Amino acid sequence: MIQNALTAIIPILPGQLTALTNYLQLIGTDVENNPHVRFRQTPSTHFARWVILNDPSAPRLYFSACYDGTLQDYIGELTMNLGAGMEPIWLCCQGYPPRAAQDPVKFAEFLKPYCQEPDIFLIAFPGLSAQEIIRNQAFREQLDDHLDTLPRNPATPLTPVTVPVPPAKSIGTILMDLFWPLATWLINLLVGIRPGAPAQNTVVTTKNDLLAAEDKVVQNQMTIVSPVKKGIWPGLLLRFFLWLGSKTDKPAPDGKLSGLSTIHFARWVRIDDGKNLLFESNYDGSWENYIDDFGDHAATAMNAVWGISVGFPKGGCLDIEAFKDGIRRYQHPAQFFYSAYPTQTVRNIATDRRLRQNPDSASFKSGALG
Amino acid sequence: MTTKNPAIHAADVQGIIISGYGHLFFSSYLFLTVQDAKNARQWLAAIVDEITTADRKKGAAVADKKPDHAVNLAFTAAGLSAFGLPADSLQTFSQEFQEGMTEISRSHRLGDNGASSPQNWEFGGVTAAGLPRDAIHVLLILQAATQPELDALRDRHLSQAASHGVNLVLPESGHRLPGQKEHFGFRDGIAEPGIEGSPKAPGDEELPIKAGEFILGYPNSYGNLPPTPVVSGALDIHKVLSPVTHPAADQAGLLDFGRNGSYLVFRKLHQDVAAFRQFFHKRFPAPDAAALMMAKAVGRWPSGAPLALAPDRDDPKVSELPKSNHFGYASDPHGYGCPLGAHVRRSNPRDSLGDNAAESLTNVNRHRIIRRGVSYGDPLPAGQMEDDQQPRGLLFICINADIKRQFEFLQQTWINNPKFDGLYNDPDPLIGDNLEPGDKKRDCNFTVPRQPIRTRIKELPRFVTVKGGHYFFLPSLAALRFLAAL
Repeated sequence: MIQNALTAIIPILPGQLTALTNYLQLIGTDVENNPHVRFRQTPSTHFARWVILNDPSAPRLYFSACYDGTLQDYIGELTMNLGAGMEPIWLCCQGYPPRAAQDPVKFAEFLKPYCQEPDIFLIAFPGLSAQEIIRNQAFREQLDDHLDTLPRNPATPLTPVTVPVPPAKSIGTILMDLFWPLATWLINLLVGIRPGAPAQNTVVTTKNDLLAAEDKVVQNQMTIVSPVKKGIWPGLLLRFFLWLGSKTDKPAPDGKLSGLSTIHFARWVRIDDGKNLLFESNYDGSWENYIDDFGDHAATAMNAVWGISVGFPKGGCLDIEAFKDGIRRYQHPAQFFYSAYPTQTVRNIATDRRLRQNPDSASFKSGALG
Repeated sequence: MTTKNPAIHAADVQGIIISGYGHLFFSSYLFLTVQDAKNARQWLAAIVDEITTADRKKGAAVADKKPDHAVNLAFTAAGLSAFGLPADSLQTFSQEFQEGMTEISRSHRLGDNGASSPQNWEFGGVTAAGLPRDAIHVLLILQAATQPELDALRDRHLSQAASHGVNLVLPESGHRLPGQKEHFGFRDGIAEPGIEGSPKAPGDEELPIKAGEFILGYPNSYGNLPPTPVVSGALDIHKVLSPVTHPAADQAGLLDFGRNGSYLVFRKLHQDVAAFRQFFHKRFPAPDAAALMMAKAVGRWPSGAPLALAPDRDDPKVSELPKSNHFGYASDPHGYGCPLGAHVRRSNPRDSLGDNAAESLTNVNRHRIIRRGVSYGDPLPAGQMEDDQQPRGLLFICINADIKRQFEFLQQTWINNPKFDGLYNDPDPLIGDNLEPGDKKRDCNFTVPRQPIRTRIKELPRFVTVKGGHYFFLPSLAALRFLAAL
């Protein structure tokens, strides 16, 4: 069963922004235990968020979820379990018929015009359901507790003598290594980025509401809406790069995406008829680390996709301070952010799955267990 | 990306950036407050020529003369303002410097919670009995070879400052412990990055890191010039500052206040040595077991020998530089020798992050700091398990060009991150924000990998408590002269 992405951007009714903000704050400060909206009652949800895109002229609500199965089934799950609790949210939105959130057909009809398919949807573990991740975690925790009770043999040498052999490079990797510098050069040329252009003198400035919404659970939420440069050429180029990304960016068996082992799910969506680019990520650990990872491991891809956004640094994302400042400028804090497995990193999920599938595996013996 | 690496302008760089002055065993950290800007600027003008610079050749026949004492000077944001630096210039300093160490989300990221939270600090905090943050304007760092020499230096500087209305609000004293150890009993200060182009004679440092990681005005590990604070050209009446080298148009007419300066982080860290000893001896009563587990937690033996090279027992053959700093972790990805969660492995993961050792080194070198800390307080006598209630710990000082990308990153993403390198619930066992009395239940483990199965040490207590701290800027000599002439 593959995971899917729900992406909906809905205009907020005039005068309703405060009411909506207050309600999202109410449920968002206690995501697990608030009496109104408990995503834990929807077993298919991996991650969900509500974000107010606060364009002063026309504020909009972004609702997103990463879920298992079909949209139809998921809408059913949402309406059945969260319908009443979500009502105050949707009542603030344009085109919402009261009580539709408790009726799967009406709710689907309401959402549909606002929904968009991502141009790229990245999944660290395709087919691994939220409930399976949670079961694997419980299995590993039991195993860990059991191991604590076993006697240790002091005669066992502490350090094993086996030295790991690095895996041989595949033909694909070798070809990629050869091809990549050329591709990087070409991409930067097309986007108009000059790696090596002098860095700007930037004071990275982060608004407090962004910081306040971060580092609550192991994962963090990132929602960025950046304006795409005007004109036919940037639009075409962006579509091409997103298409290329959707064809080539596949996860490694250990959940690594684009060389980063910190992304659970991410998506790129051209919105507003291609005028803006939405990026959403559900990632592990600190914001600083995540953005540094972009520069360290995925600079070319970032330059390709974001290089077409207004204000992107001339030197590309390795003008790291200007890059960070731009991201912070276009980033919106989530008022509500739910994670089905708030203590599990991508690497934890990978280890747990390996352990459950094969408890005798090397990782188990090695003590990779926490 | 700038490829050329200009030579460091040593005579303009404060000496503490390039040297810890290991031969100067006694240090004084004088926190000063300014009453009147004009008066304070006169004081600055009077002492600026006494500041120890990185120029090691000055006035000496030998190429690398070590100074017989050292004087360095750093400012908080409030301090620069008190000297008359205009607000629009202050806004060009990094956000973390402007806001200070105690901004609430920053405390969260640094792990300054519970007993370590700023409302419990002796200085630099926000409320309560301690010395408030904004009363600290200047940090005067004095170092000397003997205590009497230091005392004389300190008295002279204090009376000189006081005569200009620059008054002492807090003195801290530090000293080096025998054998270059810190209070837990481990040799400290081994892994220090070298600075590319440093005027200091090459020692046992690692391969040098780009100067721009530690000094503004030089290319950093991204090949960029680090962001630098600027001032309006009209303020520089004596023409001591140079134009901003970042070429963007909005920098036209601005002068580079930051060039040859750096940011300095100061934290007073109390070490609960008795708790550290008690914990490991209680959990591992077998002979030698506690010593082994303590070494596993640190990642080094008390001698300094790294577990990566001496996994099972201390080895004097690898306890001295350069050997004690010449190793990686890539050959031990599971951490059988040095555990993944060990203090030194997570504070400098070297070649071990990800599958590519060379890439790991490049990326890790974007988050290094230069440590200039010293111990305070007398050691707890060897073998003593009971606490004597005496203050002791580390006056942690680090130097970095970008506090958020270096010090704060290290603290948040490596030290306190229980998920570091694929772990589950393991903050740094030595200095992490582990359990305090009265904490609600959470997992704070330390995992020692071993075959056939690992040892998991649960419910680690917090051994190190933050007692105070502040972010400072360490200006160049030119910037000091500029400030003095404002």
